[in-house]
Amino acid sequence: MANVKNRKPTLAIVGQYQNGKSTLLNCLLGGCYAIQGGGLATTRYNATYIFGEIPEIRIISSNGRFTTTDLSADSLLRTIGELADGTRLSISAYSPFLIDLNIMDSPGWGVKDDDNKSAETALVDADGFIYVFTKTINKEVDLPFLKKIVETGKPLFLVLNCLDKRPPSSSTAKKISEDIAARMLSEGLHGNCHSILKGVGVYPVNLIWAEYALRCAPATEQDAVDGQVAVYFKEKNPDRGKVLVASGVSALRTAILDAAKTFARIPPYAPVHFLDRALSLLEGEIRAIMKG
Amino acid sequence: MEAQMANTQMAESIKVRFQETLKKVASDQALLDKVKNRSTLEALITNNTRDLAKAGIAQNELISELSTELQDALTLIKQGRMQTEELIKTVDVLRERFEKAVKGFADKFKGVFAVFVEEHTRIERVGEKAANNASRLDSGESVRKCVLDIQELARKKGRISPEKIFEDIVQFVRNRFLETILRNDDKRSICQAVADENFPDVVLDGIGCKMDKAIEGELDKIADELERYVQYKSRLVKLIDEFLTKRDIVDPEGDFIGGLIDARKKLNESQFEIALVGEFQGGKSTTFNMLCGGREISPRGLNGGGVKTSAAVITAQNIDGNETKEGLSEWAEVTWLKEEEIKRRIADVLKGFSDNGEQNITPDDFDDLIASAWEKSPKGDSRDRLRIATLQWRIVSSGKYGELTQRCVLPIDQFQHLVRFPESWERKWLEGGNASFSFEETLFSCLDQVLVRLHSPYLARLGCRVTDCPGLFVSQWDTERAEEVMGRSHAIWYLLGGDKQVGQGDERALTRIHDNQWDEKCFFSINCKKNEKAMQSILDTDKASLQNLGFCTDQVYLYNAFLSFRAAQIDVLSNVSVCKRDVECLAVEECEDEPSAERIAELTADASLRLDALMDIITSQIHSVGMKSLAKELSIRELPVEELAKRVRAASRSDHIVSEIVKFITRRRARSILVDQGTRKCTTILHALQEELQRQENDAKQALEEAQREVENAKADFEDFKNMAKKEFAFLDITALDEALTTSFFSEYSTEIRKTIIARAKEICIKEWHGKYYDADDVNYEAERRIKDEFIALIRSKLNVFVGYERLGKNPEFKKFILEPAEAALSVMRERWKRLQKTNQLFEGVEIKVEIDETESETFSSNLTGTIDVPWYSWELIKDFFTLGIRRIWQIPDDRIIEFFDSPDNPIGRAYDQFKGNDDNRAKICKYLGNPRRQYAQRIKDALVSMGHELHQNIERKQRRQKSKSDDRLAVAKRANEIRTTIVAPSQREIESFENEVRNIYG
Repeated sequence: MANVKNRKPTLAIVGQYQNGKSTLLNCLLGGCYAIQGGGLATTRYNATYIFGEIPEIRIISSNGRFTTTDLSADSLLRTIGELADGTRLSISAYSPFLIDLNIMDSPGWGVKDDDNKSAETALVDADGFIYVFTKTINKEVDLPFLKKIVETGKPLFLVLNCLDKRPPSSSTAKKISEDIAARMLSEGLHGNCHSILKGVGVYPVNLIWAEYALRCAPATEQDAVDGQVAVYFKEKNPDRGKVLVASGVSALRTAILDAAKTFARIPPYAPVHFLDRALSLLEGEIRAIMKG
Repeated sequence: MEAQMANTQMAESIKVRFQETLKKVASDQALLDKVKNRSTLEALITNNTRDLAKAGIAQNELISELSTELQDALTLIKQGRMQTEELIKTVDVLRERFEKAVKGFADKFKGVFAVFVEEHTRIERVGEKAANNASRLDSGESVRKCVLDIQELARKKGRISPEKIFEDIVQFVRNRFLETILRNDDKRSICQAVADENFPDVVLDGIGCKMDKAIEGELDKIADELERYVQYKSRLVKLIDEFLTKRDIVDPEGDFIGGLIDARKKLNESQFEIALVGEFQGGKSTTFNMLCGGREISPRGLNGGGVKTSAAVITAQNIDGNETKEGLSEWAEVTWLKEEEIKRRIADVLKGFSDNGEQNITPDDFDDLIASAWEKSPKGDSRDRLRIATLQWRIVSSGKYGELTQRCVLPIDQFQHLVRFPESWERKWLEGGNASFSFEETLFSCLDQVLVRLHSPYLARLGCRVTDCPGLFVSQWDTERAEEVMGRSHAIWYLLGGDKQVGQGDERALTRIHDNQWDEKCFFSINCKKNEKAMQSILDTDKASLQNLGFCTDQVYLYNAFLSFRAAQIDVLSNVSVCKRDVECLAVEECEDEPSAERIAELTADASLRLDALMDIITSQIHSVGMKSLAKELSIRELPVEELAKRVRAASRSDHIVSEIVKFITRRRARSILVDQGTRKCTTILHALQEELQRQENDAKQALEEAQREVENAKADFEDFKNMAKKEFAFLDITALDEALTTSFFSEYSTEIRKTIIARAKEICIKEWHGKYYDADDVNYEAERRIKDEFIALIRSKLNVFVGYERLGKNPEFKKFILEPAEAALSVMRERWKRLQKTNQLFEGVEIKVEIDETESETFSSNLTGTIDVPWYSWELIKDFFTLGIRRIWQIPDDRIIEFFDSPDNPIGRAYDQFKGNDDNRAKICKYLGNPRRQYAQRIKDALVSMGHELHQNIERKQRRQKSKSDDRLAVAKRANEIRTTIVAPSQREIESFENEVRNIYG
């Protein structure tokens, strides 16, 4: 039982499509792991990133069988076309961030119902969520999904992805964060938000700056990212540490890691999990006896 | 290799065009010919032609020089030794020289014809025309424009074939032409406008294809189209006017005609409106401001936005000419919602919150209802609606609304506070409810719309109104406002965010557009926020999604809203006199926060500072979009402002999108003006009018028919009722009942009568005749008279007693067979009658006047008549007895007499028995006892007859009353029918067939 309680929690990154969920994941892990789309919905399956020295992908089908392949964008892309519904990916990555928790990348919400369904399975699998916004809440797309998340009762981080050159410390970012927070409150959805301010907290981040600082942009885009940062900071190679702090990602990382220590799989699940394990052991015993 | 081929081809075509153009300009043979043909002018012309010829030679030299240069340039291109930029520069230089040459030549022409006009005033007309032609050449505005276009196309070398360039030019001319045509009301002003625009001749000269048959054909088509459009319009106006001449006959009240007059007015105004719709923060206001010529008109999200900014509907329209209002050269007209309208909307919202579905909510209850609605802590859409209603009521109930709505015309930089969505909207609601908003902040909720009138080249090109809607998907209020505008607009410009593909939110909004059948007037633009490659994949995905939703994807245009706006803004900000608001917004964007007052003052004072600030913003934007080459170009700060603006504009594709939209709406506009604003409206109105007339006619006819039907129904119903009554009371005709009564009478009274009569005879014998002598005849006579009288009197009295209600009513036979059934039947009758009275007014006042009760029965008994005869033979016995014994009467002691009468076999008793047994007598009594029954039956018959009579009177009275009305009604029906069939229906048919014709042409 103690084992179950101390299990590493899984945090799922969710949100509308093309809000930078995969980019945020890369920024948190500090490397280019997930594929980022250019305006099109890219992520199609829930992918859990776990700590591991050897980078590899485990493709787990719905009946529990899995195959392993190497972690290259090419092979991932090739494989993704062939996967059946209900398939999950488990990807091991060598990132210190994953020592304390697993992190799950989910398909974007609000493009098509299939993806919405995959994203909804994350609601069951994960122990907590990071919801990524680029602007204030869209009542047609964000609101229904947020309601579903809040119904699970699991902890929720709200992250505002400040696009383009908008710094997370700007008054505009504050304004949007405030608006999101206030709307969550007035819709009664603030119950399980991870709070840093009064009521609800929203973490504004600039992922382009983080991509520059952590060098985690896709290889083809790293130059463009560097160029943008150079234009904004008006110097050729601004100090990466400084940019990372300004991007707000380091603050978010700390907040997540701190919070991860306080939550694990919530209690009602534990006995079920335990029972599952006991039954499978018993099954093994029976099989052994029958063989014998 | 292919690209090189295309380059060569295109360069060749440019060369040919240039050569031809210059030739045409050099020798306007047609003009010369015209002048030469007049003999009186010949001398003058001969004198002057030398000069002209000289000028022509000079021109030709220049042309050949230019073409050699161009040839050289082309050779360089072919050899790959010249870059695009250089080609453009060369073409620029050539263009300048070309224009100079044209100007020089035109001056010469002008000089010649000025002399010509001075000396020969009588050929004024020809002179004017010549001078006109000369001045056309002089202005060269359109020529320059077309050359610029060629230049623009040259920039895209390698991708567009010469045929495409040709087509584009034709299209350009065509659209310009149509635009001009459709913007104007009547033929005269169209002609004027066409003249003002200096085309088609000059444009054709400019692009050097006057001789080109294909273009001429195109122009003919344009002219035809113009002609057709004008014809159609005047035909429709004529149709409406014809109808309006009969307005006094058709619609004296003016309920319907008003709509037609309005439609006619709109037809002449040729008003056309485009609605800008899309997700919040999708670049609508930025695009809108770009169309307003780069001015900060609609509030847009500065520094990346992220929260909703537009709160109300803003419409922009170009000012043609020098129109002013209240001393303002550019202004905003604010339309406020009417107070009643606001109250109605508030009541509608509150209805949704009332528990018992209360329908009549008055403003007196608003305060309480709003408070109780908030107590229910609503969520989602209903809360959004309640918020707005609360704010609206706060404004209206403050009593300042009337005064407020007086302010209707404002300078264009001073209305933005009215249409900006309040800051920290959600937080303020959470913290302090409606009290945390200032009065000014909430005014947007009472705005109907704001119409901004300003000078903008883009709006002039579009030639229509453009409306900025509040963004979708934030609150129900915005969605409802946007839908209102979409419904009334003639075209919907749906902006898709270019940062991501079409999502489910957009899909839902588009499905609504589709459901409302607005998709025909819908076109799309994608706001490019990424580089070309990324945009292509988004474009493909979006097109597929749109096709899935059932939209046509021919009209999906790519542009960059932000850069488009910036390009337009360069002109505005480089201008010395700059709007305060434009500077403020620039300052906010520059420092990404609240700017200092000093900085604003600095920027206001210095145009170059403004441009620097703007360039910084543009550069960083270009970087984030990934337009590297443009960024490089712009980094050369020495570029003149116009050049900067031009390059940014080219990169933003704003010109492209505007001309594409012009293309899209030109035909649509003709259709919209003729069909949507014209025939559709007319037919709707005429249809309504027809229905009204038909209703009048039907009403009149129906009233007559109904009256007749009522009478017939009444008669039939009464007949039924009568039959029913007869059936119900049929038992009263059964004579067997009388027999039963007679038996009952005898069984009750027989013994008594017998006894009494005997006793009476005994008494008479003893008291009157005993011991007396009588003559036998006398005795006979006396006995017969006395006994008979007494006997009859007794029976009669008994019958009377029996028939008296007291007795008869209690008689079980009578009760069972007559009284009770009669009462039951009567109550059935009354019941039925009551029901009938409800169905027909004619039965009113007609009642059943029959009572079966005590008093009625008493009258029966007093009516008793007739005699009962004792047959003579029974008296024979008595006579015998007296005749035989008469002598002994005085001798016989009393006890003998007593014994005689007391014996059971006494003759009186026997006489009575015989009387009783006599059929004749029994029949008589039977008949007598049947009297009550017959009386009842008669009463019923009488009652029915009197009811029938009363009914008849009712009918007559009603018919008399209706007689005068029905004449009027007939007249109304006839007239309505006449108007409908002779005026309205033919007009409607005409307009409908006209509409079909127009639809066939304009799709």
